[in-house]
Amino acid sequence: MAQDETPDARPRPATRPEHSEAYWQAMQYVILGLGALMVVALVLAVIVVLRIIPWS
Amino acid sequence: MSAISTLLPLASSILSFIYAAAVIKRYLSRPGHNHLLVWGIGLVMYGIGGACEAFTGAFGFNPIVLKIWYVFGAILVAAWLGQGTVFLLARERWVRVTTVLLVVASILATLAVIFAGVDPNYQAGAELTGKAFTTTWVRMLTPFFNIYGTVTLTGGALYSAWLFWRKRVLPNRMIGNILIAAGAMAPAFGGALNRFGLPGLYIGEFIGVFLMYIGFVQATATIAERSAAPVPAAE
Repeated sequence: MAQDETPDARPRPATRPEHSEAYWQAMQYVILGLGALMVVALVLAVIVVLRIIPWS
Repeated sequence: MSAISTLLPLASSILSFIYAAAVIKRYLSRPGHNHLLVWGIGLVMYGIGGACEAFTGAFGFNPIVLKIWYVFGAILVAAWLGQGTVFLLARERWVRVTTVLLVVASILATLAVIFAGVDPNYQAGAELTGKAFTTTWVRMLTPFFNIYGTVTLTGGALYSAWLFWRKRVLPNRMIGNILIAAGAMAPAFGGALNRFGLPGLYIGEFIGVFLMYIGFVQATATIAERSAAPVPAAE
């Protein structure tokens, strides 16, 4: 049908779906928070390495 | 041994094998997506590690089970899961170089563990640890593999989540990657606690595989709905 070929009838890319700007803002903090946790995990791993290396 | 020392790793193991089957099935339906195969290998290692922990919880300490656990569950698993992400995100040259290095390092580490001495009278605690090794230097191998695994798996998932966030697209894939990143870190923290003689490894492993599986389901469900992904990122 011709009506189906109008831009409105075409499937849209998933840009800015139903989520609000506050949602995206919160997700930014979640991603940054996990990044910070990853740094902590790596620091812990380095401490483990330093503990097991026989220095003397 | 408490029931939790058996049931928790058993649950992790079963979930890991289910997850591995889902990932490998996806690989078979998408030939050429080699990252799925590498993730599948990593998840099988995760399952083997959990099975060894459950075996020790149920039947007591066994030096051979300790060695199998140490190779797959302590040394290789994180690095191989991370290598799957390298296959997905990195340039081909880097993929080739890192894969060769990882394969060689994995073979050497496996040989080191096979020939390492183990105290046969070791009394295992609530969780398996590498303290039973009398050849103590094999324990020095683990952190290097795990640091590589944490950087590649967690870092790769967070990088992918960040790409989706920046473009404000495919929120389910973004959430999937966030869950995979969080799940990847849980065993890393559990392993660090284990190193310091504190319990936390088994629960960390269970939370880890649970979150990663939910993340995988989220991300792949999104792909089924919207096949055209505008940016390359972890599934």
